Amino acid sequence: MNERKFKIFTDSTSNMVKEDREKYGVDYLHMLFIVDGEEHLADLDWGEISAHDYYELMRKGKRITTSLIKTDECEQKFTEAYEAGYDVLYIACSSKLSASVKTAQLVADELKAKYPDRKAVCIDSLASNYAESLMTMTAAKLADEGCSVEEVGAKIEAEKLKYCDYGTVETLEYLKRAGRIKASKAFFGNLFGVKPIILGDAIGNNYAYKKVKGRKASLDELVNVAVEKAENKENSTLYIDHADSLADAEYVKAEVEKRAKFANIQLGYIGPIVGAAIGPGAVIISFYGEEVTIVGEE
Amino acid sequence: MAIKTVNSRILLEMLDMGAKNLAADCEYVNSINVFPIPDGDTGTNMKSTISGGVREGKNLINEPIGVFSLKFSRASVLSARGNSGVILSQFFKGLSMGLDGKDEVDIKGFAEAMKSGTAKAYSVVSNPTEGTMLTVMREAGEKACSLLKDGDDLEKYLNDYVEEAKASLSRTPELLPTLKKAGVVDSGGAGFLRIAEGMLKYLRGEEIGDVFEEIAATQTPVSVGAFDADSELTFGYCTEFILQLQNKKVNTKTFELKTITDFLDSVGGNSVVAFKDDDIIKVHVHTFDPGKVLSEFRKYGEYLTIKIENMNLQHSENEEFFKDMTLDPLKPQEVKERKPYATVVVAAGEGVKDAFLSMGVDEVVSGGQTMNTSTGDFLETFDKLNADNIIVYPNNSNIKMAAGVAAESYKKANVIVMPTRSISEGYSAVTMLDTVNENRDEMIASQKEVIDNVGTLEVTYSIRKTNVNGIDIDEGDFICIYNGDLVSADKSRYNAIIKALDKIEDFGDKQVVTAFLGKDADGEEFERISEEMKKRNPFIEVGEIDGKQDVYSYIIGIE
Repeated sequence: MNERKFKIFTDSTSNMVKEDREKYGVDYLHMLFIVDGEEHLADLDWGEISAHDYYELMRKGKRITTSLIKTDECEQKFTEAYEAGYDVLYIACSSKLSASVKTAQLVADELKAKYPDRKAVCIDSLASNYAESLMTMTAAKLADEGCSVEEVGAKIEAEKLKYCDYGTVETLEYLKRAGRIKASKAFFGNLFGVKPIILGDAIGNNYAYKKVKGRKASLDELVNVAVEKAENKENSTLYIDHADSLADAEYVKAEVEKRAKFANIQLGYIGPIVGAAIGPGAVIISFYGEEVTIVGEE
Repeated sequence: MAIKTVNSRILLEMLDMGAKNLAADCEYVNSINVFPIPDGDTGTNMKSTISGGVREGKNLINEPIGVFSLKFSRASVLSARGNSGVILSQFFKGLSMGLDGKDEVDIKGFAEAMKSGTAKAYSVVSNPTEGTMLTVMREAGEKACSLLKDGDDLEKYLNDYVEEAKASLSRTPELLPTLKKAGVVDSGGAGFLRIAEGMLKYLRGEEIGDVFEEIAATQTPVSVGAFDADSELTFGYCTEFILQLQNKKVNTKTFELKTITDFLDSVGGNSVVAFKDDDIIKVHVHTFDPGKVLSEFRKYGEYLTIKIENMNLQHSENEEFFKDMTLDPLKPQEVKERKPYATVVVAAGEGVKDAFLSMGVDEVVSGGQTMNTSTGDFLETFDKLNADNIIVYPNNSNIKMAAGVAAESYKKANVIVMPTRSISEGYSAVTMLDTVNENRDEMIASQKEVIDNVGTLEVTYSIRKTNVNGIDIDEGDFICIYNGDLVSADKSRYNAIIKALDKIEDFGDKQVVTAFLGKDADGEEFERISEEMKKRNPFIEVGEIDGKQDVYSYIIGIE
């Protein structure tokens, strides 16, 4: 393993758990969630409020909004890296869902005057959730092989559409209210019992591309997607994140295991930022596989 | 009358009498529907079908019989309602195929043409059932043809035809167990026999006691002398108008016809016939003060047409006024942007219609179990749309054929008829329709998959004492019908439904229940039913829609 030439960051929408961050030696930039006008750091380790309590708040009707990465934290972390002689790679939430990547780029441009020899590569992942984390982990592996930040950035850019997020929700209302979904007119009207299947599309939007009837059918569809679209399963991990619906995540895991052999299937919570937009009950699977080509209708 | 050749005039006269004979006995034909639900519309449907042909035919008696019969059949297709109507209209179509290219025809040729009518009628039914109108027309046609000898006249032939039709009809209970259980003969067959008998009566110069004005389409000319300076107005004015509702005055979508009829009642209006079609209201009323009526309704819109006639002068109602909105040139046609897909559903019940509209369907055509939609209704609706593909949800097996015939004959768009047999199947299919992310074939395949997965539980009451599927039913009992099969009956509606739930074998595998609550449904009762459903299947999601439909307390989709 070569010494890394750059520091790697992702952000709160990656849902990346502590064990993974430590294993891959990466850090994340905090976004904010806002309850009753009060800002809170979107902590992926749920220090301030447990995931269950957080989603309970939402179930009780509490409105939670979110905000992009903090400029001061971004500037501070980039500066620390530069001061220590490292470049920076930031793998950010899709620019269609958050202005974080733009903000980070502005910070980097600003720092250029003071650190003309240092570089920050900010990548618009066009994704979120563990697809974003998977890119970050790939970047870490490449960094350990001694690649420069530009080389790694170029490699990630070239194949970022192969990092996939697919999910389903109890109701589209949260996503619609948060403005974080493209749903065609096929999702018009009273959708009682109708469950959407959503993917991160090829231009970075969340897009409801398919309808199924009933919750179980929607989970079964996620199983189909994992089995059919994930590549190199025996050497890779399937991530199943949920918004306080562990039993459903476990159901998906069990059904996938009946049909495919992944090296590992990891369950976890959807983090506070994605959670606030997608709502309790959501289940998202993330994997490396078939390139996403679907572009949702606006 | 020793008639040896049949021409257009004779054929029309016969069919006219056939129609009148059917009309005279229409209520009887309606009443012998076998299934114990308030359906009873076979006679009405057949009457509407043949009357459409007769109306058209009156202008064509000088045409060659080939032309006459073709146009007659086309008009009957447009007026066809219900399965029985569609089958009858196809009989006329087949008859015209047998007469094609001829000026007039001899008895043998006529007998062959009648058989061609039968063949065509059979061909439109995907699974022809014996013991129905089809059997009656086939056996009568074959028998009368085999008895035909050189030199026989039309009366002899039709006499043989009618005799065999009677015999055949009396045998229908032996062929269809449901008829036997209910102690009736097939209603479509009975209607068909009435027509044949009427035709024979014409040849024999017999009268039909009760002639229906509806069929006698000719109007008595107005005699102005009937009302002079000293006359007194005793009948009032026959007032007819078409009111265009205006968005700036009312919500044209939700405006209730009741507002109109209540006012007409309050001013002592008689013979009120009124209906609403989208944002147009048509009204017929007898009133002594048309001015009051007309100024009142300007609150809601503006008039497209107004016709007021002194009833002392004119007694014959213009029945045709209400027959058909389609041929009404006054109806403004909204120009819509052409789109790849448009949807048409058949539904009855205000809330049911609203539920479909709120799902974005383009047109809702009125119709259902007790009022079947005609092919003409469909064609008229298709014309309101501007789309490459029109998807039709008939939502009733009695309407599927009329939709199919309309689809086949419509040329301005590609019409896809989805095989929905119930409101529940139709609603589920519409909620799952995706014409954006699926191509046409995928869409059709996935819609069919959705439809196949829906079970429909209909809750209503029996109109007669009977026994179906081994279940004894008293008149007035609540009955549950699951996918067309009677599964339970009970004096208590709640008990009937619970019994029905226990008969649905795959209930445990289902996920979503969507219930349309009818006018006489009980929300509290449905709560309890919903609890029972969740006991039987903890994963089930239960949703309610205030359907406000008649006849069915509940229409419950289980999928």
